[in-house]
Amino acid sequence: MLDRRLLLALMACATALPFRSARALEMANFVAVNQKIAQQHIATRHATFAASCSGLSITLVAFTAGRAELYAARQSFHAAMDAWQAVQHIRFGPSQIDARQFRVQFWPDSRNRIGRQLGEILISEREDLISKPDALAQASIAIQGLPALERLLFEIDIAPGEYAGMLAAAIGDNLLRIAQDLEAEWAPGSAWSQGLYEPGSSSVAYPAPSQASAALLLSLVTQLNVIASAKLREPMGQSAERARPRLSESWRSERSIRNIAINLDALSDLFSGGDGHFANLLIQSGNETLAADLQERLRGCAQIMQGMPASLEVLATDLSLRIPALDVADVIDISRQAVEQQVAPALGLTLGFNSLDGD
Amino acid sequence: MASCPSWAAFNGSCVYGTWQDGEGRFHLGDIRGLTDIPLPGRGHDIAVSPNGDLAVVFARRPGRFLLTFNPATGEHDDPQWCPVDRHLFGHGVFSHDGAVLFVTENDFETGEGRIAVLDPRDRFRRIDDISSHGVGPHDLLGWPNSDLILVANGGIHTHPETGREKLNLSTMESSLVLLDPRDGNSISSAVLPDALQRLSLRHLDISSNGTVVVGGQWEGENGWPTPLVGVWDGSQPLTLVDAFSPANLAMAGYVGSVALNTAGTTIAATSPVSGVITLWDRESLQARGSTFLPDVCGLCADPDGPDFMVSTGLGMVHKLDGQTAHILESRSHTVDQRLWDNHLVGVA
Repeated sequence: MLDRRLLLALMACATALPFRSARALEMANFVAVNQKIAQQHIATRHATFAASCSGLSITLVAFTAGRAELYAARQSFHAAMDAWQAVQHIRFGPSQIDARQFRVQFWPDSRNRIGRQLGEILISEREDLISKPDALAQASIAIQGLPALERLLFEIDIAPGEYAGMLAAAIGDNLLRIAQDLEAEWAPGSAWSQGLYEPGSSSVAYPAPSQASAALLLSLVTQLNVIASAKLREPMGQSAERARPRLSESWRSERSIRNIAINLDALSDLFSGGDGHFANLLIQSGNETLAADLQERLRGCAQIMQGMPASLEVLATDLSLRIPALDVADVIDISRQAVEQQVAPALGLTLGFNSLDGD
Repeated sequence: MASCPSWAAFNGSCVYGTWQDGEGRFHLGDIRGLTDIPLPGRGHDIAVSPNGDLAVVFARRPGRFLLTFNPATGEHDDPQWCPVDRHLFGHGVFSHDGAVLFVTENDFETGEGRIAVLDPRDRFRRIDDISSHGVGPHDLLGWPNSDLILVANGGIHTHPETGREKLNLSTMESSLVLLDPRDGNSISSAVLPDALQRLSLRHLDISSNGTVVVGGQWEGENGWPTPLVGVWDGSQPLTLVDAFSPANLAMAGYVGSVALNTAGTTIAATSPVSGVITLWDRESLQARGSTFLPDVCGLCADPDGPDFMVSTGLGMVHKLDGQTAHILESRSHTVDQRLWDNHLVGVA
């Protein structure tokens, strides 16, 4: 159910918020927050992704052998996609190595590369992809991950014992390997994890803990931008008549809005979950109002999107949902600007000197 | 980075860049911290004269100052300002004989890219300007052992009134043009296939035998894999890296600087957007390695050896192995807060 009063409240507080320049935060403040985010947010969520991919892989193998229904395979896909959407905003370090982000989810695919390549493989029935454990990992990124699997499970009428089913199982196995690598490399105590909160640690190039905090805050900014533009405004189109719901992220499995709700919940957790994260830093710097307002907006946006239908197709054309959904996009944009223009300076952080302003 | 090694290998080389300090002021200096020259605004690239005794730092696009200095001594002059109806695009290069300086500009009435010809012996008086044979010229450099110059037309039209806003993405056309500055004629050019119409070719480096390496920035659909590094021999079509190779994908559609090592065998490209440097074999265009370096952008060949020097907006300068991209040495400017800007230039 759409909570109109909540949306109105979020719209109302969506103005530029004043901030005080940093009441000098200590290095220890940043170290503490980075450590909690590394261990409680990043590591935990990647462990969940690996566990859900394990479930997916087992279910797909069972489906291929005729021991599980297509419904079960689809449910396990949803569980894996849920877990992926909860870590999608972590785009650096282990998530970037070996094109893992692309291999888990090649999106957007505006030129239908997945469709063409999957079509070719289903016709040629390439044997090595289903028989050699590493073959798929070396194949095109377009056919390795969740979007290719989504087509097999929701678009093509696959059945046990067929090539398409075995390819689905191979994709499940490939996803599990990637997810396990991500889990291991982000695990508490790993070099990447420690690199976020141990100054001068050997593997990650953040010379100061505040810079790792800035990188984490930049993850929030980037994902807010992706949600508002690529995930919401582009498929919603200029008008209900000109909506292009097939640009949305997971239209085949009818869960593009569910993805956004999970993303926003994850960002809300990154900002103020656990025992406070960035909201705590803001409070320590004397910016209680800014912390509370932004926390309310992120939580509120997540809550509103959770109350919406899971598929974007309905939202795009039903004006009673379309307008509030676009209002949420506005609140997301304003929240992103608040992080860039108020939160970062309030904490004394520079968000991407080169990365946000190159030439 | 656990221990800061000795700076022996940095001591022979002379590498310059620009940075922003903790108070938001802009500077020019070398990576050893021996020179620190205040700038009136944000700087971009640096051109060095053929005999190495004069260097010029350019204002960032769209800016109007340039400042000359002696890279051997660090002595510098007061900034000079170009006419109010012109805006520098941040890059320039001396002619083969050092007699003139070429800088990229824009005729914002017609939208045509221009290359201004300035006299370094007469306070950079404007002698001439010629067409860049394209829109939005950015980086340019001299063709080895010749009077010809090479320009990367980024293809993007901007106007001073709208600053850095991109005005023509749907019709943009990027190109590399080799031209003769004596008559302004185009000798040859390279363009992109239709599928890459929104790729902006922006940064260049060249080997002593005339292999051009170019780095691009994708202005098309967000997230669509596009080849960001290419090589050109001045006559044949551009050869581009595999768009779907992991190293290319890791650069997230954006290359901020490119360089060839001194031997001309390895290409390096930095992406500040994803914080990664990638190395490529110049012949096969296969990736050799990559390293995660948050907010990396500045890049040049180590003037003294086979490696690369890089800088980051987090105040780090690194020397990277020219074969593997592994970090060999690092220097931190975090205490005095040097946010190193887009480019580094080595002076042999």
